[in-house]
Amino acid sequence: MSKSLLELKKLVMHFPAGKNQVVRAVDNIDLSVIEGEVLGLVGESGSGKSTIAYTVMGMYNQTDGEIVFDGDVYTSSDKRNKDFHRKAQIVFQDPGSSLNPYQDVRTILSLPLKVHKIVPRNEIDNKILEILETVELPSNFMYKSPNAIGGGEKQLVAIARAICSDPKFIVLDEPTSSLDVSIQAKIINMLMGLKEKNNLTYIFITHDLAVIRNVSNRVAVMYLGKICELSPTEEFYAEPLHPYSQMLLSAIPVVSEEEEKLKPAEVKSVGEVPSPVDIPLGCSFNTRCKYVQPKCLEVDPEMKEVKPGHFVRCHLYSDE
Amino acid sequence: MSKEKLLDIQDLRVWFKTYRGYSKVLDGVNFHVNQKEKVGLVGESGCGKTTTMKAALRLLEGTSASIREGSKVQFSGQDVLSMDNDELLDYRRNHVSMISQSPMSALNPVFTIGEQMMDVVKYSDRVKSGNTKEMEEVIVEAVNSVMIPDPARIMKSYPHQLSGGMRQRICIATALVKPCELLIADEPGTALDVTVEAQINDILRKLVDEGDSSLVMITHSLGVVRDLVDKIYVMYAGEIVEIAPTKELFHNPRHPYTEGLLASVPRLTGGGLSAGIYGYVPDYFDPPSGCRFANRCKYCTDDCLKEKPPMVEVSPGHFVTCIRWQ
Repeated sequence: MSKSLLELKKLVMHFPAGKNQVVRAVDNIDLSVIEGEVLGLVGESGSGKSTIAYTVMGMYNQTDGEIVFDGDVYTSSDKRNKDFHRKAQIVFQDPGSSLNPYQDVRTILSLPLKVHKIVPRNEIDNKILEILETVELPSNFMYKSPNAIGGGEKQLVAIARAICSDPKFIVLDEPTSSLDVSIQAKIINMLMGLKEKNNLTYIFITHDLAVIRNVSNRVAVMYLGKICELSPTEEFYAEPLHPYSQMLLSAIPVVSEEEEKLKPAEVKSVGEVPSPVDIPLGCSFNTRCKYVQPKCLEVDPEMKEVKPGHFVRCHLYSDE
Repeated sequence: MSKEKLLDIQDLRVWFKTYRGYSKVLDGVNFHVNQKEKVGLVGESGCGKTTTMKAALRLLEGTSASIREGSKVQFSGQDVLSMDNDELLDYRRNHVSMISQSPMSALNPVFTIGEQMMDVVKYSDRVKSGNTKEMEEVIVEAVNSVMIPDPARIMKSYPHQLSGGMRQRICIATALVKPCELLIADEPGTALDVTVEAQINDILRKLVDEGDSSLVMITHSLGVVRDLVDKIYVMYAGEIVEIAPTKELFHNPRHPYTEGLLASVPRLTGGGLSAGIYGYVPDYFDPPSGCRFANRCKYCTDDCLKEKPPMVEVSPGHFVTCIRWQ
């Protein structure tokens, strides 16, 4: 029986932006993450994926809606407690700014170990060595500062930091987007190995659909603050239903003919991406969709389960 | 009809002077583009791709970089490195254009788009009459060709009022309002979303196919160049390690680095990811005397460490810098 580790219920996150304007970064999201899965959260910039990450972690207090993590309910006025932070961790996109350049690796990793009392003080150094070994970094890294190590290694330190508290759940916010492809593979393999070994649950946020194809169990596609499509991975790639999903998939650069055949027919992007301050009425994708009908300009479609476990939010599928 | 070499770079060596000594980044780069040709320059961060192109435009002057003795850069047969000021200005205004990686820093935030584009037209030979109206028409046509609606409104806007994709398209349009035989696009899609990047690449492809110019596409993404260019140069740690026609490179990569790079790209077909390429790029302050890829190469032998491997033609148009290519 699969249990939900995280549930987002009608989650809303709006940011004020000047006079009477609001950035609707996350707009009424319902999403659950099953224990043990890797949920891929995909979308382009401005879609709201990082905002979801930060809101889940408690870095923002949501405007409305509930976040339920491991049975605990958090509303817009609740703060996360220490227990939450021990069980839920986050790895950020840019290791250059997520690691304190004035602290060496030993100091960086000591903090979560001390705060969550993972081991007695005199065993901290040993624990750090153990964790460095887990992420396949040499032990002499303990005394290095972030400035002295490369991007891939910095990200490994960020991952090491995340596993210090022995969490159940990690939000990976574009963990490899700032890295070269040869290092990316190493980091991702490391993350997947850790997941198996420590029974972790991930939300893997990225704009890279080729990576998601290889790591996630389910895919959720976001556009301007809303989820367009949610589906088991293989099914999503075999048959993407939402026009935006098709557009994304047809735009990915691939390196082989077999992959070329898997892509949907090219869907050229027409029209401009609306500003998140000025989202159009009706379906937010109507400015770029080639299937747009009059209904799309007036009514925002509802999420509908079109096949078991496969949800789409689009008028093409909402009529019987 | 033999294609004339438009840009010919030979034995380019560029060193950067720092407090730690010289960072010997480029160590004998040979790169050329023919007329009406689309060439990809592919490599990961820090390998020297942008530096190579900047050297060709003499944009490194005044920085800590120095082009070493023996380097040659020729454009349409003319020696670029010894051009005087007037010739250099003419070269940059009327023959080559470069679109940089980051559209935000390429555009001046305190001037409107129209003012900036007008500047480019005015100082080029495009509208010899100097007639303002004619120049405006050229600008409008360029903005239309990059699929931006309502050029009049855009020309009155400031860069921060446009999205990233629009700014990058404006940079491309700016490259079009002046005569240009060679267009250098430096990772034009990096700062942009994949759908917008696809749009930009379509525009670039169309421009080159319909016009007379050549294209150099600098990128770290093999997938992007696969659909766009005729020939690919693969660069690693300041050296060109492989050159091949596009299809040939993907079907038959001969350099271990190219092989590793292709294998590291996550596939849409699934099947998990490869292990990546073990190891790290060499220290440019103390580069190895042999092959620069040796410490990461699974085929490495003792000979690889002794001397730089020569570039060998393994099949027509396909070159590899490796002694183990067989």
